[in-house]
Amino acid sequence: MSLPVKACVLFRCYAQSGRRLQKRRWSSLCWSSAWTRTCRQNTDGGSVIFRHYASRPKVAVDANDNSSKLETTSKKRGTQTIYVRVPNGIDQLKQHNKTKSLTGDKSELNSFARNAQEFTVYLKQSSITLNINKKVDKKEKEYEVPIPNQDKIVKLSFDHDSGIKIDSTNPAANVETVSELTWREVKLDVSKLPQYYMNLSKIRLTGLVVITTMAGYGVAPDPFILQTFLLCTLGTALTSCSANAINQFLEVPFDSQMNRTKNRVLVRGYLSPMHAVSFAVITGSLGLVILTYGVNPLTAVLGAFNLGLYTLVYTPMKRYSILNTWVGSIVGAIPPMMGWTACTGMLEPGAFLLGAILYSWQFPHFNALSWNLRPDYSRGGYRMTSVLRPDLCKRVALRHSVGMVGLCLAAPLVDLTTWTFAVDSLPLNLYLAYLAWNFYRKGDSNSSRKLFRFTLIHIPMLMILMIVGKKFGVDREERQSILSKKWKSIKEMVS
Amino acid sequence: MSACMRIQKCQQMFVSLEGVGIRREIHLTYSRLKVKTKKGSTEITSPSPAPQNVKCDWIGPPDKLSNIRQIKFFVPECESLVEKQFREKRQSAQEFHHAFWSEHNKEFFTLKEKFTQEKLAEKKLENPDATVKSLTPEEMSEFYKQFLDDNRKNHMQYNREWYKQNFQMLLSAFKVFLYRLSSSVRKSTK
Repeated sequence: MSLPVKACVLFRCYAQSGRRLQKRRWSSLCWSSAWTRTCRQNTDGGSVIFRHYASRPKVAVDANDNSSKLETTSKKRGTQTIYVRVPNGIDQLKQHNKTKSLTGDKSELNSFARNAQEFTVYLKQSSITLNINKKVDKKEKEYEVPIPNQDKIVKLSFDHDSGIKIDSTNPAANVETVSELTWREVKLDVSKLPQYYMNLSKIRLTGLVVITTMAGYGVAPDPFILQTFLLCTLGTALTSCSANAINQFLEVPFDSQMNRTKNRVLVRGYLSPMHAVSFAVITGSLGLVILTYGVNPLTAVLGAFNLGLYTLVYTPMKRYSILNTWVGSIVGAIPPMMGWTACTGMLEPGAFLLGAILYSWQFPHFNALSWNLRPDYSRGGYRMTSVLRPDLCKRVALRHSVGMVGLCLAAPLVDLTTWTFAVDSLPLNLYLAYLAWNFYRKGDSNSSRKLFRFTLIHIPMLMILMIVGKKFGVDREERQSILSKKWKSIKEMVS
Repeated sequence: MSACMRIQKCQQMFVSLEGVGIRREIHLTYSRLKVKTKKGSTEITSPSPAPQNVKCDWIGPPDKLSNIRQIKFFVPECESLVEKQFREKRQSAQEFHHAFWSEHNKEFFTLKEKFTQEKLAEKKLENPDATVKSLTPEEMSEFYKQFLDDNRKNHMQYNREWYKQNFQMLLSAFKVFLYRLSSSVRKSTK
């Protein structure tokens, strides 16, 4: 099995022009990495040989090499680790019939190092790092390297996976459960339907939406009617469920591409697409009917508008334009306004301010979230600000976090709250602005994660403070007269 | 641990999993996986092909590269035209996704590795003493942006095609639903 002559691997470096500038010996089978080694050799030699190692060198065989330089290389023999970056095309070099298989086994490598034939390898183009000492179950691909002057071939079995190094951002390379390795009958498990429906309607997102609606209702100045409140909550929740189900129906292949979304019911085939659409149609129409007849038509119109905006505009837009974040923020701003209109039946400055607060909140929230998902978005084809305009992404998050301070301070001015809210929301907003500033300045995964987590606490806290600091005692007629007076004064100013 | 032993262990594990409540037949495919059980972690390796002679549709694990789940379609003996059309549409859609994402992901990971190596080589030349083994997300973001921009048209085409196919499949599924409904009504009236 062992080869008769001593071993050496020579690496030669080529200049970018392809002309050989410097010939350097690869001293042994031992190097920490082909790349590091090459560079060290460059610096030893005092001259820079190639700039783009990765694209320039290619493994090839030199049949004309002479064996006189081999003696010096024998010192480091016997070490087991070999990292070689081998190009994709090397398997086309198969020519000869005498082969030796090197499995990467320690003893076998030792004997290889002791006995192997000299051969020269040129790195001309490389794309992957290989560690043949590592025992892996991956598909093994064998490389044959002919030995100069001997008419022999050394066959190297590398840890090599069809030429591509796939990392764990690819869901299939990041196996987390047994179900990701198994075949399963496509059969509807009726007992799990509630769970599937919750998954289909993204229950946590829907929950957050509903909380903002409830807060919108709570903050609105008209008297609290339990029935309207409950119907409004239910209607909004159903509409949100419908929107999310349609979103998932439209994004099955894209969801398959991300770790975050790979376990969605449609991706895993627990529900059929038609089932999901039926669910969306039923919940959507039910929700809108409840909003129309149980609450008021204005709220229903807002709900329908939001449903359309989310499913027909926002969802496709994610893949077409960077503006999707802004559209998405409008989608997030409408639910609290729906809560307000459910209570008062009209859109007032307070409702718009509430919407503006939620709109501004979306930016630190989503931009921080998308920051760590850049590899996924890039591969999945989502045109996100974080990928395409990282600077803008951070700037916008900061801008809106600072704007949040101003918006909350303005709340007493439109009679949304009393001045206590302006004061007690200040620490929350200042901390948000501080974290956004950190994110803007550092732009690393840690600061973005911190910002994202805080936004999750921030908005419920802000809503609670808003309800606590709600301004009572201003009734409908009074508000309308104040409004009309303001309008008049604005009109006079304009004219 | 030999492969044989691993398979044995894996079978034992599934026996115990059945006890926990996983009932169906489980086909394992490629790769190895560490599974935490009550008895500690077990490593399993068991390549297993798609199920044969299925009695209904089966859905497989995500493809290693394209992440698209394979579906083994069940073809009934007396398949009606609408059902056949629906099945063929789903089959072609699946092949379409698989082909697109295999190619796309392959390109992504190849270019990513190339970009990383080039960047690392540049860095090393600038500062030979430092041991830099990987790039920061900041440096990688350059690649992500480039890749997304380069594939814009590609994605738009794919998107349009997918939306078209998706709605056609939905329509087809609805037709099948109506067909089955009507045939069951016919049966019951007879």
